[in-house]
Amino acid sequence: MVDGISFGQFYPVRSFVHQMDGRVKIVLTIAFIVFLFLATNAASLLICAISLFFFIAATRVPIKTYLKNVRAIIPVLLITAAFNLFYTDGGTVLFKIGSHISVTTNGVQTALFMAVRILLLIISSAIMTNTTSPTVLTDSIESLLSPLKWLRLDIHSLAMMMSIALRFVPTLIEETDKIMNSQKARGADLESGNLLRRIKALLPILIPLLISAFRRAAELADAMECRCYHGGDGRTRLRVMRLSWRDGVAITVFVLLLVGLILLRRM
Amino acid sequence: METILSLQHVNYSYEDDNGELIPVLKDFSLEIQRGSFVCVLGHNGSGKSTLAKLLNGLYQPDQDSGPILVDGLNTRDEKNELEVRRRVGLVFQNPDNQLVTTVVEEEIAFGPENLGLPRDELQKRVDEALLAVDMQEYRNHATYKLSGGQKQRIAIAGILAMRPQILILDEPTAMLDPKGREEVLSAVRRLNREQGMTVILITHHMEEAAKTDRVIVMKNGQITADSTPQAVFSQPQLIRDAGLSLPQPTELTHRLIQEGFPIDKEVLTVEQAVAAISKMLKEK
Amino acid sequence: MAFITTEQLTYIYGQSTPYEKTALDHVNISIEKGEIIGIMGHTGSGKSTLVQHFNGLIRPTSGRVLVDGVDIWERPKEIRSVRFRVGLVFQYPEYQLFDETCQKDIGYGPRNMGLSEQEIEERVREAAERLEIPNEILQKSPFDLSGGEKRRVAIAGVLAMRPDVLVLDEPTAGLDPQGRKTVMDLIERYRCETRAAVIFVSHSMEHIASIADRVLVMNQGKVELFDTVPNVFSQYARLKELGLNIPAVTEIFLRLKEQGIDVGKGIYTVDDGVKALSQLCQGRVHHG
Repeated sequence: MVDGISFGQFYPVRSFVHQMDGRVKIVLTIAFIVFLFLATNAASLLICAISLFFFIAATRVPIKTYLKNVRAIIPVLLITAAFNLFYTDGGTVLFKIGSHISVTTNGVQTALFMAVRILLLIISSAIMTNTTSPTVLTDSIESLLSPLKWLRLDIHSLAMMMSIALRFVPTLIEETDKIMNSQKARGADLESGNLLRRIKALLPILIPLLISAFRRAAELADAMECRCYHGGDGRTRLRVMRLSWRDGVAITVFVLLLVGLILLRRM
Repeated sequence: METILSLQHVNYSYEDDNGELIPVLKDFSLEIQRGSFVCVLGHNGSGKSTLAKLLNGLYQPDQDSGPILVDGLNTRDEKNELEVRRRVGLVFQNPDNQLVTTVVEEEIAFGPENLGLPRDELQKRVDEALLAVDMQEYRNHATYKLSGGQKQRIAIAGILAMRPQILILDEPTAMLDPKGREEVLSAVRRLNREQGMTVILITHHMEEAAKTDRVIVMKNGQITADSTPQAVFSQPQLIRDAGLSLPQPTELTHRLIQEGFPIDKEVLTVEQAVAAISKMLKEK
Repeated sequence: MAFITTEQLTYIYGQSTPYEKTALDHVNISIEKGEIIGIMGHTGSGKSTLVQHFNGLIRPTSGRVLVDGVDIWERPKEIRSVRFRVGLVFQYPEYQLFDETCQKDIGYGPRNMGLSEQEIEERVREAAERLEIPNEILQKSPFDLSGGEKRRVAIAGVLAMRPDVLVLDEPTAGLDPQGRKTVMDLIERYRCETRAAVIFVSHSMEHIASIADRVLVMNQGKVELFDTVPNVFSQYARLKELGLNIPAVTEIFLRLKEQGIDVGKGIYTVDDGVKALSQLCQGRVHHG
């Protein structure tokens, strides 16, 4: 059962992070992800985690929202960790499974680091999407990518598509749930049989879902036309993008973080 | 009263998958007066929704069709396109499929932003539209957390923010529960009464039709009745032929007339039925 | 003996998470074969969660659901067999249609039951007949139909499983008056012809009053009222408090009574109203 808030949904409150410029948030999120992969030892991952924690606190989004985002990716986390655990060589062999797979100290370390990285990556992206409304996100992406307009790319449409996709994620999850239940009520068996059978069993869910997505898209297109949407030309904005002291503070924190990471790398 | 919308001998047909032309509206003429509250009834496929989309230029009538004039503007004229859409606001059935953003305030601003209005004007329009649907305290709420009735009111506000002259609602209550339905209808009635907004309400709920000024019944792309709700609903045969039903109080009085009771036949609401029955019993 | 029984049925969404919410709170009801039950309650009262327990789509947090005397979760692996006995038609069921032809789509349930092709065909024919779906529609793609036709095909897809209990969640939502009437007539006919139990959720008091034997009123996950039509609709004030209505005719006669015109109790349909007034007037002629 889905209760409306799912990954990437904007959580409308007023906070330090909410009031930051969308463009700065996008750039800093990307920078943070790069930092995560620069961080090769426990100490640097720790300071990444600590700075992230301060940003979480500054969003005023309930911590449970983040926990929910994290819960959704637990399978990905486990699979990645497992791969790293079993397929990293070097270090002391801790124990062996069969004759080929051995678990080493290096493996444990890499697995742990990888899991923490993914966890922090997900949380940092969640900070951005939880605090930035789709409209602002669209505008920010559009603004950041505007140099590409010289290449005659329709950046506005691209950004608009992204934000609409984000807006429809919860709607479509709810719909999938409903269709799945309808077919189960007619005895659909999604859990048994070989792979081919299982894929075939998904058709009664995928087809209606696809048709419904097209129907929604057509209706939304009509509704947007009714509201005089005609692309990005001549569109004004309720929210004006302007850098503020908050962005300055955030950028400073990031510069300090970067300096810290470089120092730790040398050690 | 001044005519705000006029259709003169309008034809509309579409091409089906086999390339055959399927007529929807045939020689369709209609005039709507400024400030009126008009209800359009008809079975599924009677052409009601097509009519709505023709009125704001989303659809274009056939080549051989007469003109559709919105406050004097011909919808066929390409240079009028945006202005026609702005003047004729259209609200659809499914609130989930017409919300573009996830924040109430930004949702309402979407239309005016497309009109290229300056920022302080955008803010003013948002305030005004929120007030009109009585949702001021929801300005910064997430749209996906609202109830169906609230979502639909936000959809209406999003249209109002473009300051249309005519508000068309295509089955706006079909997916709502009774509470949501009442919220939406009272907001629309208030707009009509207090701001003189011209409203065209397309619905399958006869009780909603009872509280309007004028009821138009459509069947297979043609108008089969066009009068006050009292006059339209006093013709049960016509209503049944159009695939519609009577509001329950009206059905009761018609059945009583059939049974030979001398009762007033122009009854639409519970109050009117109570008055008519008690009057009849006193006279007996 | 009752055909469907719930014992202390409780369901909590997102248990032990910050989103925890009790959707059903110790619900005890029992429904006999051959009964028509109307369920009402405002949005979020637990109606939809309740009906999804009847066929095992949702597993209770605590308490039991018994179908024909057997706890449906006694053998979780066999839960699918419960879904064939308790047919559930969701809100806007036309969104579940997927197959090339209506014939195949209606046959989806019976095919999942593992029946022979001949038996499937027989059941599709029977279900189509019950819903007045003509042969030419059966050969069409479900996506080429009108809204009302799609709804009928979708309901036929559940009837083709020949359920002992038919459960419908707002079966008339979004239909035009003609479509609403067709669906309501069908529900009544299915009960008469098969003696199955029919349970339907509706916002229309008129529909509930016209065909239900008993009415279940849900509020905040609890059973507020579960009684016969007269016993429920006579609790006018309580229903108003819950944001629910009573049929328009019932309200007319209640108001007449307030004005001192007593035409008797128990008026829930137009027929009742006409009958009551006829009797009243005849009485007056005799005495006057």
